[in-house]
Amino acid sequence: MLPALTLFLLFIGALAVGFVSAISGIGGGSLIVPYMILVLGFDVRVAVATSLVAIIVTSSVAASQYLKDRIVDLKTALTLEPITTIGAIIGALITTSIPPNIIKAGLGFILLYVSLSMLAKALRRRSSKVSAMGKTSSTRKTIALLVSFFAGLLSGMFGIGGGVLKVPIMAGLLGLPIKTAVATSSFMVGLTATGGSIVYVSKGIPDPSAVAALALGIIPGAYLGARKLEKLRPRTVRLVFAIILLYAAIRLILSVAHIL
Amino acid sequence: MRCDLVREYHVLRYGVIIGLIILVVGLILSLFTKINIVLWIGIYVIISTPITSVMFIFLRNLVKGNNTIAVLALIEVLVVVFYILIAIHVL
Repeated sequence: MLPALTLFLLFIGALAVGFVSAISGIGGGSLIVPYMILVLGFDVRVAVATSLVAIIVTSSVAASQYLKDRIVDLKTALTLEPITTIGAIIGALITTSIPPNIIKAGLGFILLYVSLSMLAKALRRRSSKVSAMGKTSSTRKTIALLVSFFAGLLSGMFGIGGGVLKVPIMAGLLGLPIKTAVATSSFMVGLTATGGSIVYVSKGIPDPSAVAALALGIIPGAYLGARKLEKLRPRTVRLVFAIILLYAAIRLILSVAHIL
Repeated sequence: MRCDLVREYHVLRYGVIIGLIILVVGLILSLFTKINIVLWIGIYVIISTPITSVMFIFLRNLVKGNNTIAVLALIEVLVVVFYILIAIHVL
């Protein structure tokens, strides 16, 4: 059982993460894991495992609404998901068996990629249009399956949702409309996180009280973020958090090299 | 036969709500009595929610005769069940 102050800080952090996720569209995991490691001093494996369980909560809440609105492409989701879940299980098994510093460094590089792509998106004046491709060739489907497996692997290894890879492949490679791609990815993220979580829970790694504090904070945070969405400028929020993520990525990488 | 009475989004929404309620009860219990078992039950409920919704997708599509989606949903369930069986066997 964690001290009450740590639980309170997790709750506050989760509120902020939920708020930012709703405004910027980035997943919770890429913010929760560095917050737990760098600010609260959690062990990297505990942070990854706890984040994965919290991700199930957020993605399930979002996916339930998307399923009700019938904007989830079930065929695409269920075609890609088994291989993604296998990736997540393998990723989680890798994380439980390699030294924490390697996980930290890997997470640092993933965050570096996410922050730089967020920066690029925030600095771009016009949003790029995704071309609908209609019929998808078997090569594209194969690439989509491979990228999905890789997204699952990263999700299981680093406690992130993997939406950053899933949405582009569904919109770009498989020709789904962006709204459907986001909804389908949201449904898939919960299942992928389940695959990884089963591995961590079977080894007793997640901290149950931390999961409770995170889950209870992240949902009201996302609700507040969605309500303030029209008043805030998503581009500015995205820019600010891309810089924070970049800082977190650099700190993680440098901490492995014992520079910080 | 009414197969639309309980839909997959009901399972996702209420599964997570029930899991969160159990987590809150578990957190309070854990703060005062150091008993963690309720927290773990909450975690198990949350983890089993998405895969339960896929089971509902499988059953609903099987009843409707939409075999493609039913088979794909079944494969997803089998992947998770297969790993659980391996984990139980190994651990």
